[in-house]
Amino acid sequence: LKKIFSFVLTIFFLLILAVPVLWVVKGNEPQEVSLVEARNLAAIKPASTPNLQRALNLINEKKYFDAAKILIDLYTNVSFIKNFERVVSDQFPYRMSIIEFSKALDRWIIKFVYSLTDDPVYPADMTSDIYYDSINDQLLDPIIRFNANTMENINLRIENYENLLNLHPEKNFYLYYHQNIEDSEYHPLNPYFPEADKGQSIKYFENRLPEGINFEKFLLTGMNDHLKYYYRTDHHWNVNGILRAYEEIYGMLSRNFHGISPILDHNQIVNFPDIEFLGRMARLTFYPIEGDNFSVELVDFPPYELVMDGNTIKEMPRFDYYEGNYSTVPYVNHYNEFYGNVAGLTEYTFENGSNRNLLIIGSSYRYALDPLLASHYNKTFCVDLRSYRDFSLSGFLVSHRVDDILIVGENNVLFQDTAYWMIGE
Amino acid sequence: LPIVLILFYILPRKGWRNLVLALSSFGFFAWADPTHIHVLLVSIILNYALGILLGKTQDNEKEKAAKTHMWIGVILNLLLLGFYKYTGFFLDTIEAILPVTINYTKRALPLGISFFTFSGISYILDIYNEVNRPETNLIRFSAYLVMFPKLVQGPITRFIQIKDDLLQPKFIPLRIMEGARRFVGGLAKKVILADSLSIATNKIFAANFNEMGAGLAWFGLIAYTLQIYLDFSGYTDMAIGVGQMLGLKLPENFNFPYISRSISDFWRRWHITLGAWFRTYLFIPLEFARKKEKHFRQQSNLLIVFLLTGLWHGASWNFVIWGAYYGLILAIEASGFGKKLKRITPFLQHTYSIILIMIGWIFFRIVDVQEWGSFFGALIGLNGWANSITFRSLNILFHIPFLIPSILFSLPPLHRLGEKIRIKGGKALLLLDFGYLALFLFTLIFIVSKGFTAFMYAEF
Repeated sequence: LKKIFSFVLTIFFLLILAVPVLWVVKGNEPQEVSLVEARNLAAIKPASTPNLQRALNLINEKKYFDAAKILIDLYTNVSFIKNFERVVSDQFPYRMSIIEFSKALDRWIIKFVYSLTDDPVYPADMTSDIYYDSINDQLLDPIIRFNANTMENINLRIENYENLLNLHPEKNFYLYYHQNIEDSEYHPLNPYFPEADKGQSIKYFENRLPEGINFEKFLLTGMNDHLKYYYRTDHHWNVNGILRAYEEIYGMLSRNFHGISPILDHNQIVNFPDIEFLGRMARLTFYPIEGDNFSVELVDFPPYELVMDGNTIKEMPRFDYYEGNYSTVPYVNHYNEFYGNVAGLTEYTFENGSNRNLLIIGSSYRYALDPLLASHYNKTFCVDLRSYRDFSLSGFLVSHRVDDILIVGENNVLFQDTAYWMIGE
Repeated sequence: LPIVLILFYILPRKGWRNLVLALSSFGFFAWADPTHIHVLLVSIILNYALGILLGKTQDNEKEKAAKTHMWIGVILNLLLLGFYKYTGFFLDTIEAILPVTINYTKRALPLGISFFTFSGISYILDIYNEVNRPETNLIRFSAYLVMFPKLVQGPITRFIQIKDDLLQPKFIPLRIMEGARRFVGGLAKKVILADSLSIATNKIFAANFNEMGAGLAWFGLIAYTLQIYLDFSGYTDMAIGVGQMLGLKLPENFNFPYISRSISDFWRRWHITLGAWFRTYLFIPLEFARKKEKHFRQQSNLLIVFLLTGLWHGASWNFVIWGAYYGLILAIEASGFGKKLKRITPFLQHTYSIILIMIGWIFFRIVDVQEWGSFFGALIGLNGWANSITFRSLNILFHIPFLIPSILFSLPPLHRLGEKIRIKGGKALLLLDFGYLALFLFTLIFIVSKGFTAFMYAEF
C-alpha cells in the first residue's frame, strides 16, 4: 500500500509540475493564435520581450550583475507578472480540450436546472451570457436594456449629431440603423427583463433626431425576420441582411446624389457547401450546434484600389473565397475572412467616373457594405472608431474631401454607446 | 510550489530549509504585490530588532525598559498597519464631521498586512510575557513572519506554535500526503464552490434591492454565507496543507462555524486564530486591567474587542457596525442569555445562531449602510416573494445546484467520513486518495476554463 500511496503522491506532484514540464519537453515555439477564440494568445518569447532579451544577452556577455538587475526589475513589474499569468493560462497543455470538457459540464448542469422550468431558451454556458434558443436552434445574445442611462446616452449622441450638423452644414449626413434581435420586441427573453429595450430606444432616438439628417431604418418584424437576415451562431447579418441594407442605403444616398451609378447586380449568390460557419457565439460557448450556411453575393466591381490602415491591398479578401482559397477548419471567422478584418481606416478608390466622395462610419456590419457602396463613389473612406480612437470629423475633412457622410450600424453605433461611437467633432 | 517543496527536501542542512522558506515567501509576495516588498522588510527588521532588544532588557531585569520596548514594538506595528489601512478612513471621517477638505490619495493595501502585523505584535508581546525567547536567527525569524502559506490570509500564528517545526524541519512522507489532501480539498472548496457562488452573489448584491423579491434575497444571503466560509476556510485548508507538506503545523482556523449553538460558540469556531489573538492580547488584559469595575465589565470589554475586530476586517463603517453587532450580541449572551439559550432545544439554538450570523453577513457584504434597509425589506418580503429582478434576469438560475455541495462541505458529516477512512486506512483510503486526485484534476479544469478570483480575506 505504501508504494501505491507514493504513486498517488507522485501523480499529484506531476500534475502540479505538468505545465512547466510540458513546456520544457515540448521545447518548441508557443502557440500564438487561437483560431477558435479568434484572438492572440499570451506567450513569453525572449524576442518579443526586449528586457528579457537584453538580460539574456548580458548573461551571454557574462555581465551577470546587470542581467540580474534587469531580471529583478522585470520580475517586480506588474505588467510582466500579469502577462506571465496569462501565459500560464493560455499556454496550458490541452487547454482547448479542457475548456470544451468544462463547457460540456456547464451545459449538463444548466440543462438539468432548466428541465424543471420547461423553458425553451436557456444559457448556452455559465460564463458568456449567451443563450440557446431550442425552438429555432440558434444562439442569442442577451437583451439590451432601456433605462434612464440609455436615454441619457441617446441625448448625448443627439447633441453630438446636432453639433456635427452645425459645424458642417454643407455635407449630407445619412444614418442607417439596423435592428438586432437584442433590442427588438421579438427577443424571447424580453418577458423576463422589465428593462428590455423592445424597440424603445430607436423610437426615443428617432423622436429626437435633428432636422437635416437623412435617416433610414431596417426594423425586424418578427423572429422569422431575424432568422432570415442574421446568422444563427454569429451576431452579424448574413447575405440577405447585407443586400437588403445595400438596397435601402443606395436608395437613401441617391436622393441627394442624382448621377449615382446604377445599383450593382447582386442577384447571384454563391454558397460554400464545405464551410460550416460557426460564428462568435458558437466559438465563445462551444455549444454543439450545427453551423450556418455560408453564402455570399457575387458582384462584378469596377476597377479599384484598396488601402487599409495605410497599406495597399492587392485585392479584396473575398476574391480568395471566389477562387476557392479558404479554410474549412471549424470555428474560422468566415465573416471577417471574407469581408475584411478590423481596420481603423479603409480607403477605396473606384474608377467609375464619379467625382463624389463618401465617408462611412460603422462597425463590422459596415465592412460587408463598404465595397458595394464605395463602387458608386470615386473615393470612399471607411472608419471604425474602435480602432481610430482620435478621429475628429473636422480634422478629417481638412485632409480628405468628402461629400456624403454615412453612419451605419446597430444601436450602439448609431445612438446608444458613448465610449467608442461618439463622433469626434 | 513544487519547486519550493523539492528544494526544501533535497537540501541537506536543516538551516537551509528555513532559507528556502523565507526566500520563496519573499518571491511569492513580490510576485503578488511587488510594490510593497519594502513593507514586509520593514516589518521583519522592526520586530526582529525589537525582539532582541526586549530580550536583553529582560535578561538585565530592566522591567521599565522592557515595558517601553514592548510598547514601542506594538505601537510601531500598529502605525504600520494604520498608515496603510486606516489613514484614508480616518481622513474621510474627519471630512465628514468637520467642514474641511483634505487632499489625499488612497494607498493600495500591502498584501496580508493585517496578518503579518498581528503576527509581529504577538511575537513582541509573547517575549514581553516570557512565553518565548527572542529569535536570534534572522533567517528563521523571517521564515516565521513571512511564511508564504499563511502570509496572505493567516492563520495568525504565534511564534511559540511554530518554533519547534522551524528549528527541526522534518521530512515525513505521510504528513506530505496529509498536506496534499488538505491542499486539494481547500483548492476545490475555493475554486469549484466559492467562486461559482460568487458569480451569483456578485450579481445579486449589485442589483437594486427595491426590485428584489424575498426568494432571491434569501438565496443571495444563503449563497454569500456559504461563499465566505468556503473561500476563507478553503484558503486556510490550502495554507495548512502546504504547511504540512513543509513539515510545519499551522493552527486550525475553522471548526464548522455554521453548526454553532450560540454566537459565542460561533466565535470559537470562526477565524479561530483571530479570536484567540484578540482574547489573548486584548480581552484578557482588559479584564485584568479593569478588574475593579463591578458593572458590565465583561460586556463592555466584549464590545471594545469586537469593535476592533470589525475595524480589523476593513476600514469602513459597515465593518465597525458589523463588529459592534457581534459585540452587542456577545454582551447579551454573557449577561445570562447564553445560559438560558443552553436550556432550549438544539434545533432552536442552531436556528437562533445561523439567523444572527446571516444577518451579520449583510452588514459585512453591503458596504453602503444606506442600502441595508432595502435589503432587509426584500428579505422580509416587502417586495413580495418575487419581483422584477429574478434569477432569470440575473442569469443565475443554474447556480442553485451549487448550494448542495456547498452545504455538504460546510457541515461535519462529510469531513467525519473522510476522517474515519483516514484512520481506518487500507483500500478505502486508497480509493479516497484517487478521489482526491480526480478532484484535483477537476479543479484544474475549472481554473483553466473559468479562471481564478482573488481570495476574499486577502482584502483585509
